[in-house]
Amino acid sequence: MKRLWNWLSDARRSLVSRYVILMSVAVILIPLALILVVTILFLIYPPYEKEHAIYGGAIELENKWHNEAKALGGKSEEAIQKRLEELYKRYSKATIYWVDPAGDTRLQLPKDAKIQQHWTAADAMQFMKERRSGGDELFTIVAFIGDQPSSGFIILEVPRSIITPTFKNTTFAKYWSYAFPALLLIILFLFIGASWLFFYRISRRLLHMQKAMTSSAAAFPGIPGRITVGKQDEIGRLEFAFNTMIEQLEHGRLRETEEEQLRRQLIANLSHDLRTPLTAIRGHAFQLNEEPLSSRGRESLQVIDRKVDFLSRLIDNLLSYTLLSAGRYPYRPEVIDMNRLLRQLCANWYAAFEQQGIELELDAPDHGFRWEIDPQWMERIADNLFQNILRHARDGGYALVRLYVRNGSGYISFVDQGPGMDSESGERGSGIGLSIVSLMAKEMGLQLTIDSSTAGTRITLQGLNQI
Amino acid sequence: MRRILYIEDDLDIGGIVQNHLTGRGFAVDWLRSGDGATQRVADADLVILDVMLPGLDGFTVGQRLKRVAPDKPILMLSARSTIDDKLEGLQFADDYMTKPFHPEELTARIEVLLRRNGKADNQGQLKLGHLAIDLSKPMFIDERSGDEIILTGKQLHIFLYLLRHPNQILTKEQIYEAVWGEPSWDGDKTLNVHIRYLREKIEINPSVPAIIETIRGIGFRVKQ
Repeated sequence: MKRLWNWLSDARRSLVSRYVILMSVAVILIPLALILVVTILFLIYPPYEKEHAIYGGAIELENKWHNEAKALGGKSEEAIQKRLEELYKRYSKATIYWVDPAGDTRLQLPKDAKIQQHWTAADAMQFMKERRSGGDELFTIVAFIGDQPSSGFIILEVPRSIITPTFKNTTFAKYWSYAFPALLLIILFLFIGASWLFFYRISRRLLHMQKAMTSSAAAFPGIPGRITVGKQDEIGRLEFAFNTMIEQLEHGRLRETEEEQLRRQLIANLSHDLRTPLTAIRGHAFQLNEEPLSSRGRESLQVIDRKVDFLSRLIDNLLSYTLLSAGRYPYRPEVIDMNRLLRQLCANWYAAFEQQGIELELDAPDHGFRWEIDPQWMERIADNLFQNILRHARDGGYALVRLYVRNGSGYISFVDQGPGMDSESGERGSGIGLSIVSLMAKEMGLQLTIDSSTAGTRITLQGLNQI
Repeated sequence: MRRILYIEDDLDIGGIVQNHLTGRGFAVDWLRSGDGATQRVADADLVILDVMLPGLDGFTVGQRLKRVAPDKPILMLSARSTIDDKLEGLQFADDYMTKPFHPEELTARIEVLLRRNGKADNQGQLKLGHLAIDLSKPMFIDERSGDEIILTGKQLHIFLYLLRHPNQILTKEQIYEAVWGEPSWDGDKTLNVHIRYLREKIEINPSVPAIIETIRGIGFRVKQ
């Protein structure tokens, strides 16, 4: 019993069962409404004329007449006459005859009714025959008084039209021809309305859900917020499942952030742990350099020093690249005067170029342009490009940084006269420096072009100028 | 003697730096951790601070030191090289240097910080080409004739700014903003005009300048 109840309450919550109920109600409603309308119409407009109601149907009238005849058995002639006159008053459209046992017509109502005054057996037969064969208009009842053929008989004749209701002429029929289609239409509209309401509510809940799915919660950007679960039907279960999914997403995002944090920390620590021994190596090399050494010894120390530089930069780039490709490199864009920034960057690097015998020149227009970028990123880009020139294009002895504007775009070119990128350079790296340049340029919406030949390399950044 | 408070937990690096700085004429007070640094900062002219330290990290120690002695220059010397680390360090520190560093660069940066703080090793006396300079007054003597060179306000400002950042290339914007105290604007020639007048006074041949060097397109430099 309990299980049945549970099943029922479950079913009640289901959208399908609710719709089935709706349909069933509609199907049952049609015959029910039919009965109801017929009853109401029947009560207000009975399917026969009221003035003829007194006659009733044929059988009813016949029974009544026979009963009257039976009741008149043994009564005096005056009583019979009186009673028949009373009856005539009631059935004013009828014709009544009374024939006594001797075969004389004692009474005819109305008085002008055409009937023979004396009945022989042949007359009676003739009368019956006429009424039976030709009698479509008249309904004739013959009853013996007191149920005894010896006591005479009484005849009642009424027009058939009175006792046979002609349905199509009644008010009932007139209304019925409108009422039935109207009723069907009403039921149809009720059903459509109920269905519409049913689906409208479903669609409203689904739309509400869609809105919730496309929104974004404050705590976790990109992940929608939770939905308050309403009814326990299919949509309710969907909402519940949706919330569970959100929970899993949030959990995943949280774990991802934690892992990312951990990874960043790990890489930062690794970078730190690699740099510390490098520092010691460089320090010791420097100390060694202050001791008396052969020229070959000093050369070795210089190589050590260069390799330390190279390694340190590689570690730096590796760290940056990992953060960049994970989208975790802090980006703080601002509108920057590129003339000024590039001038500062060239100033930072000038001494290093000078030391290697490379002439570094900055060619910037009087009126510069501004880009919306992160200056730290731009510095990293320039650092990597300058570093590449120092490592690979020292032989050219010349480097140029050129800023210019063309067609509303700003351009920054880093030009060297080295042997080009395809040549075998003394220190070939993994190219991670250039990968970072390309990644950063892309992230900042700058277009990177690299032209390299044996005559030199030109790396150009193109960006949208800010007003 | 100029004193340096040096906080570093790596014995290898610490030993080398101490040796090097002592050899350059500094008195080095080397601590293995941030403990007790706040008591000893008063005796130092400059602090060199590592970030990864046992106990309190370098950022925290540095902030405490700045609170105790706001005028002491702090140089962060760390193997932590991300921009975030640098930005965090530079919120209180005067300089941030990443490992592996060149010992000579370290001494150069220490000199810059000390000079900025009025602790130059030669008490402001220096010789530059034919000029004898006393930064404490300031006074400029042409050694060939023994005459004092008189500079106007802006010329003096510009020259002092360059002298305070020796061997460093200063961009036009940097100099303009330091001397005029307002942002420079594109294509402004004011600084060039002032430098031309300054050179007419201090250079032997103003068209071939030997004291203030022009770095084409970038800025100016005074070599010492």
